Amino acid sequence: MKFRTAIAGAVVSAAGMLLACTGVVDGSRSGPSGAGAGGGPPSSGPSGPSGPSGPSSTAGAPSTSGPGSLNLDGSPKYFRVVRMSNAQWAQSVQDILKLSAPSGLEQKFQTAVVGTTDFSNNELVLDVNQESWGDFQGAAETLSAQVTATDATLAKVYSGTDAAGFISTFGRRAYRRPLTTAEQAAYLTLFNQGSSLTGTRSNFAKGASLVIRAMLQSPHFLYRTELGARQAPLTGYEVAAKLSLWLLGTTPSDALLDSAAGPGKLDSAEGAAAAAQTMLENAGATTVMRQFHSELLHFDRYSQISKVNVPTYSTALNKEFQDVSALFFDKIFSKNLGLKEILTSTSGFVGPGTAPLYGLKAGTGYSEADLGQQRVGYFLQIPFLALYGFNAEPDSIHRGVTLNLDVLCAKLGAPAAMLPPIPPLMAGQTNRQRIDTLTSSCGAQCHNSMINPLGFSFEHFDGMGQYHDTENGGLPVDSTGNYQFASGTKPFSDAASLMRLMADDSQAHLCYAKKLSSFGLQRDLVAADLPLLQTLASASMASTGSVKNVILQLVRSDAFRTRAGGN
Amino acid sequence: MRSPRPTVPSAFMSHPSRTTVNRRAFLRAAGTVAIGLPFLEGLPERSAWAAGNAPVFSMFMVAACGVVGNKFFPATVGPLTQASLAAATDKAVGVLAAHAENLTFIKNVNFPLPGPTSCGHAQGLCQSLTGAVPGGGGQSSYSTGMSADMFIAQAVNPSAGDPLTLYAGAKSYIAERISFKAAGAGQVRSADVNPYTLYSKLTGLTTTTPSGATMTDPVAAELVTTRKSVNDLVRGELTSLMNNSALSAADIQRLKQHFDAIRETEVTMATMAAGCTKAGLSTSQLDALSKGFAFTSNGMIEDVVKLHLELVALAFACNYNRVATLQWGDGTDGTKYSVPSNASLNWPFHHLSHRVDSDSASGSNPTAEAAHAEIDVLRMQSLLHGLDAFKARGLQDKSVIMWTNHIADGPSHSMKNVPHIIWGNGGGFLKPGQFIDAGNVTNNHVLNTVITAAVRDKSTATVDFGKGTGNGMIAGMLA
Repeated sequence: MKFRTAIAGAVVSAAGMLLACTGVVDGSRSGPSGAGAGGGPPSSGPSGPSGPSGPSSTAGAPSTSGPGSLNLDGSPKYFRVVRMSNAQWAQSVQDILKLSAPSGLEQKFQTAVVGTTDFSNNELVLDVNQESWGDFQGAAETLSAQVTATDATLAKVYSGTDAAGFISTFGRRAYRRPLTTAEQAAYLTLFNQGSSLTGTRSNFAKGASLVIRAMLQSPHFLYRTELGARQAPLTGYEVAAKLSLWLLGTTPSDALLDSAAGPGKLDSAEGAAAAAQTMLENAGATTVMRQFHSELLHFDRYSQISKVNVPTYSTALNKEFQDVSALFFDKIFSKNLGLKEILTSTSGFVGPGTAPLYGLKAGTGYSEADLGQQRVGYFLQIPFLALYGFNAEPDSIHRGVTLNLDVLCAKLGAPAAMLPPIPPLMAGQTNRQRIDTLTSSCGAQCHNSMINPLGFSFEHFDGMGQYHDTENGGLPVDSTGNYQFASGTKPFSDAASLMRLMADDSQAHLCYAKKLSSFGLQRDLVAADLPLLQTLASASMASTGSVKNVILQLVRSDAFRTRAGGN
Repeated sequence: MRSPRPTVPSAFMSHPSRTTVNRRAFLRAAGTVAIGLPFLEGLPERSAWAAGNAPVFSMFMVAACGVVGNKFFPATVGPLTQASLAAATDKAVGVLAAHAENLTFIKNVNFPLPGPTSCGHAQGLCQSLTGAVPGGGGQSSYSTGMSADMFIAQAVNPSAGDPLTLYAGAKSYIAERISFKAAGAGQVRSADVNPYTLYSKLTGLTTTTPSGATMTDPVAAELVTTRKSVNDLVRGELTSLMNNSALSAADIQRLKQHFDAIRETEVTMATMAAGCTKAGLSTSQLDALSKGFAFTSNGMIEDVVKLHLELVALAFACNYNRVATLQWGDGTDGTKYSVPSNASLNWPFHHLSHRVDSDSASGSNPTAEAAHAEIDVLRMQSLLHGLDAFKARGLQDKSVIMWTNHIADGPSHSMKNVPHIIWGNGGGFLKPGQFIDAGNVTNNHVLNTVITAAVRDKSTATVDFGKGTGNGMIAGMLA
């Protein structure tokens, strides 16, 4: 869909919401048996952090039903075998094969089903079927041939020439743990078969080639596994793999695997947190967290913007919107900032096209700038406002829907089926009045109490994110409202005050904790996860509430470090 | 138009004895531009062409956003001839005139859920090949049953191999929703959007020299001789993992799927059809996609459809897979078609189908309706391209190719009278060359008919597919 069209028209539905097929509604994903279907964790399942540095207080407990509730209607399966994502596979093979550049092979891989889970790394969409098996098999064959083409190229992978040493060294990198004796023997047999093949390569290269091919197709490489007893801590190697694949998007380094051996290290809360802390300072973590925020706030939609009869818009802005948004969240993460700054920072990034839209002098590249006191947080920056604008008009409904779903994790029902168009703005009528009239009969869990109040807070910003105090021939803009948060109904005067209000209220922090946990645990969240989310939300709300600190709290938690949930 | 259920002896899920690999015969058939070795290695046996019961290949296409009903099919039911179709210049299907004798047009087929209860696009997609009312709502709609392509694949593909699952579109919103492993959320199957993916699997490691000649990569021979050893090792590891008592049933099912995927690629090949060559492929366009695939919403979708169809025709001719699906557009398709009537509007297709520049509302803009009708013609021209490719490989007597839409028309999102087009006689089981009125049956009747045709060499059991109103086949479709 094109997001200029986010809502040209909408109509009242007594039972449902507006926005039948608009691309932003319907954030909940419920299975046939609802929350917890498929074997949710027991009531004694994941609880808060067990480490000594856990916070002493937790965020208030929200309801999980009704207005102000947190949507925890996921359907996790708690898989013990979760395939690497295509991106993780690509970075892992580059690292363990010591490739000087990305192979690019994953670009032709089958992609995970999109749109059915919050994030593309969700356990539910990462399996191996015939198509993906063919992808992994072909790529393994290509890469093994490439790195064993000569003894010199192979020496970059392993400097020795002994089969046993090669198998144990490369095997540990691929399996993310030492090989067992039986595995070592099986691969030695395979090595010998390979080395006896005809061809111009050395016997060592031919043997190594076959071993690399097999290891890159092994389930122990393709899947991250958690094979311990239920409720028991993951092994040091399992934690190393879980941390590295999540935070750095790649397989553990040799050094991390060294540190994983034996008890009392990575299998402890503080050991895991210490390793995570080191990773969080790695540039790879910024890349991973860019992906998180990109999926959370749907940066891919920027490429779909199309506006007509808007002189200040050009399609060249689409990429710039995506780039400056990514830079903003890169800064949030790398500078030890958090959700509060996401919601309230008046500093952002501009490029040649966006700078003039803020009234700033255009430069040649991207740079950080003070965007002014009207621009409080990411959601008052030009990209978000232009994305959720219909040509030059504000798209109040989608702005409200987005805050509900992506920032507050509120429950919105499925949209109504058929909706007549939003009528043209009449003389003497504000946009707010127009939308109010259309949606006046909507029920409690849609426009009147949930979508419109949040959406109308943005009424000072038109479809290109330009600020105005009057509209439609001088009519004053009304951006006031109130919203029923989990902590109670709270008033606000405009979007800026709403952002500050959300920064200080627990619900947005709980939602961010939910999204981050879903990304880190690679699964849907359910009501039993609420204690964990409260702990993380408290960490987020604290004065030191950075994204990194929330991640460290999650790493310390039983939910991350133990075999929690499912079998 | 309904018939009694077919009651014939059942041989479901039985596989014929393997025939001897005839690689040399295959290479001769492939001609000077040989299919690459990895494909040879993985080429399935699948009873093949020389068997007593010839295989029937089946493909299901589901297009987006409905059609303009009064400008799509001929005005009256009855026999189809090239002359009668060619004369139907005001109907979209008129462009298919050259295939009249192989075509069946069907009207008055309804989906089990005849109208949307929320966003209708996902709901329509979910029941287009399942014949079952979907669960959930909006974008979250899911299937309440297996889809027909999976049903057929499990019956006819060795090791119950998965069908080819293809996609043309941006995958921006309501993406894959037609092929389902089973009922329930999370059962939808991923689809390949880049035609090069299948192309590379079919053509393997062949490389092109500067002079344009095709040669086989020198490492390919080594791959052929060693792949079984690698597979054995991987299989052993998977078996060991599956025996781990800590794993849940879902884990074991996941690993079993992986295990079966390996087995499927190992099934040996049999004799080949003469049509198993690269002839007719748009190789320059396909090769151009080798460096990456960036889908654009400027009408590229139709080019992607054409490439996919060329490749499915090749895959069928080579007996690479017997079943395929193609989702032809996102649920809310954003393609900006360059048809004459859209020049002044420049709306995405989803909006044209709504007759108003909106994702969520419906209007009555006549220019948008005209544009939609022109897009219908454009889509039929793409289908024509594919049917030409199928016919060029001699598949009209060995195939049943179905085209439908996920809704009947755009403004209403109705799922009543959803147009269905069938090409091919399904190995002599069907009677093409006619436009029939199905009599307001649910689409499980169409799917029963197609499935029965598609699995006849493996099974003659009664097909009772889907959860529509009643059961059985559509008698008017049968030979």
